[in-house]
Amino acid sequence: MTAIASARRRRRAVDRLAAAAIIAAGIGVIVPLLAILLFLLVKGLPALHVDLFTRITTGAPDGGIKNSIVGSAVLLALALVMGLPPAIATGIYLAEYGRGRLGFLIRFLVDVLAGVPSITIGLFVYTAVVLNMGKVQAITHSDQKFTAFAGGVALALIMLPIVSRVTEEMLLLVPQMTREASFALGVPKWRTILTVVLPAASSGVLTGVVLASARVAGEAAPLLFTTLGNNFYSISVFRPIDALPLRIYTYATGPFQYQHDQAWAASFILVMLVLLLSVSARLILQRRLR
Amino acid sequence: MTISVTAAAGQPAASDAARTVRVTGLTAWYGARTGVCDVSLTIPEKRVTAIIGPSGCGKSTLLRCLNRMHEVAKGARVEGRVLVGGQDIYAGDVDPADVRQRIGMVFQRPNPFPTMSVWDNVGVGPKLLGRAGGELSDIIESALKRAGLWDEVRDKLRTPAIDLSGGQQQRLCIARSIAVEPEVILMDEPCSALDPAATIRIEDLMRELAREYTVIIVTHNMHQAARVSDFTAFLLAEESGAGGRLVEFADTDTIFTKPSDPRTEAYVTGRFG
Amino acid sequence: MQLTDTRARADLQRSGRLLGRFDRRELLFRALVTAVALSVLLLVLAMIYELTRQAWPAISKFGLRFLWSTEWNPPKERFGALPFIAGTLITSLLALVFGTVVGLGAALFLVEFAPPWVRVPVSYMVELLAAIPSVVYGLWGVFVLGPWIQHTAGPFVLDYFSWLPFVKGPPLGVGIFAAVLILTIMILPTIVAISRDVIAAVPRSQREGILALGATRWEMIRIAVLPYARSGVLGAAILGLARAIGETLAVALVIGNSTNVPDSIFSPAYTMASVIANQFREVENDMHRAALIYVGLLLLIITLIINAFARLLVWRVTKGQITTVIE
Repeated sequence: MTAIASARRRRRAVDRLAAAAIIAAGIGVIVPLLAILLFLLVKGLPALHVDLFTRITTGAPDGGIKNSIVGSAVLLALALVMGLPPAIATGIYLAEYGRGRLGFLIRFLVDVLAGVPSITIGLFVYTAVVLNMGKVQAITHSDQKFTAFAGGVALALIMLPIVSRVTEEMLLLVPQMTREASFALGVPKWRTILTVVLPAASSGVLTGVVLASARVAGEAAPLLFTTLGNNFYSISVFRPIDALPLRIYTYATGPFQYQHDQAWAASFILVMLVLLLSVSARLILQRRLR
Repeated sequence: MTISVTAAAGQPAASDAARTVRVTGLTAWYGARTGVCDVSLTIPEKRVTAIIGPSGCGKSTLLRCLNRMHEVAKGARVEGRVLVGGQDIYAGDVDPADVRQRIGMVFQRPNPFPTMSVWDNVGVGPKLLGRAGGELSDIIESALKRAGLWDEVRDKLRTPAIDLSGGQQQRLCIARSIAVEPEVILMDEPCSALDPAATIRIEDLMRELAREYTVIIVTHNMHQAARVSDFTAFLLAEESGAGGRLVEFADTDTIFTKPSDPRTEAYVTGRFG
Repeated sequence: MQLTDTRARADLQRSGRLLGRFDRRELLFRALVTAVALSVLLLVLAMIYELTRQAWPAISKFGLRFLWSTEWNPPKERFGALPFIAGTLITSLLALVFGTVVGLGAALFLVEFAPPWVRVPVSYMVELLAAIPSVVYGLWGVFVLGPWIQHTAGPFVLDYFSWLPFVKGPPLGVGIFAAVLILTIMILPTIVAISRDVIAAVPRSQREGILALGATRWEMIRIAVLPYARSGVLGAAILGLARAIGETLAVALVIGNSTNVPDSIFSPAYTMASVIANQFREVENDMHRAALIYVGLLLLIITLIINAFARLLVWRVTKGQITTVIE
């Protein structure tokens, strides 16, 4: 009997050790988050100041980041305009028509596209759009190769897989009965989708769009060779434009202290924006489920 | 063998046989809901005792309190005493894992581990106890024989356990429990997911097992209780939410032919439940 | 209804015409959405095609030698990507190992140990980690993690682990070590979220079955939970690996930018993604650009393969539903 008793003691000890390791992992996972948020507050908050929002970047400490903030807004708008329609259309296809082999293939590719590194997407848009800007000069009336447009395309490509899959999932959540009720009234499928099913799924789809926007607002890699950044204020679509994450990247590697300070402040603004968007997405979904 | 039916606190039972289960004033809750209320009875060793009653009367809850499985659920709570062989399994210095090794449980739906073979399933318990090599093989073979499964699986010991039929899987689970050398075996409606042929085999097995272990079963099938058990306890929850209470506990013959409580009589004659 | 009845026939023809008209619009709509969806396929193909085309000067000059040559000399137009491939492999695989160990532990913590008032906020905080942009991680890495490694963590590791072949000083704040730490943090949310779902999906009957044999909680996890969750966790890990390989700016800011093959965990280095980010805007000649795009193409192919593999694995477990949107 003592063999069992000592084995039991050992097993209890192992159990306690494992529990300690697991709890340590649980704590370990939130430490970095707290550290990041803490430093954002400590270094970003003091550097925040109205001038950041009212003045553009100059070569000197008195400059702000107005061009970066506005640039981010323009890029997001471009990405939404160019990315949402195809994404929602793809989502509709996957949910309503794509339940067979072709649908499986496309769904798979959408997921695979989601995994392409954003720098590769930037590289692709560089080769496909930036290098070909000369050919469409007549339409754009601009001699610039690097443009907000290219940046928008890159961001739209990043947004596409996210919004497609969310749209699909949300459409699938709409009960089949709803569609059948519409069919029974003689409404054709395409019209049912547009006027009955899609509205029913709208808050879920909106959540997806908001989350995708949060993700896209923080991306800088795809902008490096597409829109390049801009030290001046610009909202023109066919000229280079600046963006918050780009500005943070530039300033983080800059030699001046004011640049580092402003990078922290910009990061604080960016993270607050992203958090705001994420929380709103969650709230939309919760209100919907209630 | 004395049978106490009173609600009074039982005497400390140093003289209890090693496999007697003495329950005193047991009340168990799931959060705010009471499962069983103030149950006291002494279950004799090496016999089959059946717990019967209509659904919701707390039979399974009572059973799960006997091997400290009840407290695994979130928000579950227990008060009272359960003595096995004179030792309180709820005492402060007692390891629940130790209790569960000594008081085994077979569940309503057979639950063999799907990623393991027949052999490994039975061997899981003994390996935890430190058995290995030849000793382990002997234990596994012996457990499968005593569960009446050996002849059917001797050629497929390394095949996945989920390939067996329902009845075979349940006997596998019984073998698994036996392999850790328990003193008491609890069975929570072990046949309700099985066909009649498999049920009969397991009922025979219960009587076999009672030669070595104290067997306590919960069943919603009165006929099964009448066929298989030596003693029967009848539980009833009179008001919903108030928890089940022990109405009567006696040898099976008495319960089914001349019960003392009118409610027992009403249940066993099929007037309700 | 007798079809020979002329009035009935006229009715049928009329309704047939109506149906015909709707049929056409339905077909048009369906064709439209299908075409848009198919464009995803075209997109992926176009990506591979365009990058190959632009990288062609480098591909035709260096061929597969590119993959194991270590010379990166822009002025002399001699390029080899081994240092970057090595940098990517080392940082990503190490991040994968650490990320899986800690992530799995955290997932077990959330499911098996944490009471609801802990589980919900902590789960939420882990998701927040995923939302933080890469540049912000990079900024934090440069100004907070770097100095910490230089003054605290680095010396600690050197004190205790310098008997290992790859642990050599000095403990710079930029380099492989910093990159691995940041990447580990960045892939934790993916691994924790998926592992948590997979672990929670283990049926109660399995857990009760092993507990009823007298197992401790750890033994229950080891014997009943983990084997059941194995392929899901593996899928999560591989998804994390794919993310780590493609991670660009956070790594670019802390990796130290050296074109030499790293020989110590504190060496500065380059990854495939970070060399592109760092050098592309200042290419010295066309061959330099082509070589960088060649690196980009390799990166694309590697991530496509790994992602396809990981998705198949995770799909098998979660049956095709997305578990996290922010990936």
